[in-house]
Amino acid sequence: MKKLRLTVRTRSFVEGYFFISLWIAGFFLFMAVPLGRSIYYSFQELKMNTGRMTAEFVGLEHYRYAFTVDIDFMPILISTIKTVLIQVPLILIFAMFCALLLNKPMRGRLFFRGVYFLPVIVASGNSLKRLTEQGAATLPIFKQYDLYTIMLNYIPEQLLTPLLTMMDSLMIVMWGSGVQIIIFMAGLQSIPVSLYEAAKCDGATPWEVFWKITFPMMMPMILVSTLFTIVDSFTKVDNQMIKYNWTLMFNKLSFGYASAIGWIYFAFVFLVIFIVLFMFRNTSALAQERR
Amino acid sequence: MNESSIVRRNDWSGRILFLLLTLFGLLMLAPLVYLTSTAFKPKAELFLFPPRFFVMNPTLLNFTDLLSVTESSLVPFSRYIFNSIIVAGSVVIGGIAIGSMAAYPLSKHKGMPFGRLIFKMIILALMFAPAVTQIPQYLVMTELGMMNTYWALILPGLASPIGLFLMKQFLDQIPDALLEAARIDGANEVHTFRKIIFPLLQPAVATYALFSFIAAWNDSWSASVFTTSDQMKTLPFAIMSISGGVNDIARAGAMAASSFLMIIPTLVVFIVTQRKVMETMAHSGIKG
Repeated sequence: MKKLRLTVRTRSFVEGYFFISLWIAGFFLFMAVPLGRSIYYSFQELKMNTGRMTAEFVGLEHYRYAFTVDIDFMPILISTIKTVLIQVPLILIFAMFCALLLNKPMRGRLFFRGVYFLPVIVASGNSLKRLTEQGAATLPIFKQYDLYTIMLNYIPEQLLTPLLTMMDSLMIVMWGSGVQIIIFMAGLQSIPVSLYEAAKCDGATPWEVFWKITFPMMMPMILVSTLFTIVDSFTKVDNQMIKYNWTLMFNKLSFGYASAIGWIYFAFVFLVIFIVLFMFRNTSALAQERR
Repeated sequence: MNESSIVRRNDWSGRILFLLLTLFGLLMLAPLVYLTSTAFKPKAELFLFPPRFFVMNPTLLNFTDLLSVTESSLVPFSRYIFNSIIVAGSVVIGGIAIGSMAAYPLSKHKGMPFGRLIFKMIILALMFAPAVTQIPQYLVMTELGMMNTYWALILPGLASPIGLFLMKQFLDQIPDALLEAARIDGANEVHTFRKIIFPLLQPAVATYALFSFIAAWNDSWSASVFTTSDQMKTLPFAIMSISGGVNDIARAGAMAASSFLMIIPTLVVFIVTQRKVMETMAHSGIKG
């Protein structure tokens, strides 16, 4: 009996591998092997000579160069991380706001949902790049009417400059939140109505209901969309760091150095994600306690 | 009746809600409107700074420009369109087949050796900057002797981590009891997959189809790197090269018209798959 069960198990595994094998083969050939090679290349100096590559081992030279010699690398890395860290909370807050609005019963909800998702289709990849190049993605009002100097009279400069950079990326934030809105709407619909009814009976205000019920119950959804937003904005085409890596790779043809930079960048992305996971571990534990 | 009574009771708050949603909705529509109006702008309006949102004197000149540019190209333009359709179609269909087949055991064959490891690899693969793998990919391609073939354009898009992740997450929602019932009734694995898993996966399949179609349709990079002969180039690359890139002033009109025309197929795919896409997003919450 025991032996038979084992063979059934192994048989199901063999069948499982049969199903998965094609994908694994493709993944190894075009993803894992290139990734492994790029680690290897990051320790090499690669030169293109009449169509053939020649490699020379340089050890950690590229990594040292990136941090100590290259004057472009660190500023770009820091500003990329800064932009992402500013944009991610904005996208999440905007998406939450829209999801709350769209969750109310009203006419044309399906239509609005489609419209809010549309930028994910239209303003992605190359067309978004073209839009930002043409300056269509920033609001021209601030420059046109010289609002900066006027507002400087009322708001201190230290506060105004980050505020305006936020306003400047407003369109990017709005167009980048389609997926998150859908995730949040799904989360909102999964909260049982009885919780809201109980809160109403106890005389809770809408404000209290949001912070005591909606927000904690949405914690898993918030984590998912935070991670998604971080990964998405770190690997977007119009990202400064990606652009820099691209020029190193294809204009300056220094493959070894570009690979090294790609890996350093990946390490930072991973670090940010790790920190976020750590932060959320505490908050979701808190939410659980409260429940 | 119920819904309308709710609206009537909080009439003013309902109106404010509607107004806010419309306002945001208009801003969300902005990129599409901008692309469309730019396609109909005469030369004088194309280079206005700051760029004007709506077109003042709409003209079809850009489209006739595009037509004359395409007629002067060496390879007949229909060849590029054919290439693009073949490549995008194969990437979508092949990707769906390979991805859904891989998602099934990852989600439903619990305790499979290395199953968790494979899933972790997928998550990691999602985080990489694409530029890192591109040069090694090119080298792998030359070693396999696939340069200047359709294979070079299609194969790298097939084993997509995003597609597998999406479908695996969606499959996790489907109760195991359904599969057990099928097995008790004597269905073998292939049969179970074809008759139960694949039909149930439809929303995730539609979502992945949409994203992979957009990616493959707009991808000019693989055509520029993996192919050298003009016969094998795809539509986005052909448009980029014949219109002289973004900074060519003389062909800017043709460029605007072509970027408008390029977006139409993706819009059609979006409208066709929309409802199912929304369903999947709700379940797995991730895109490409």
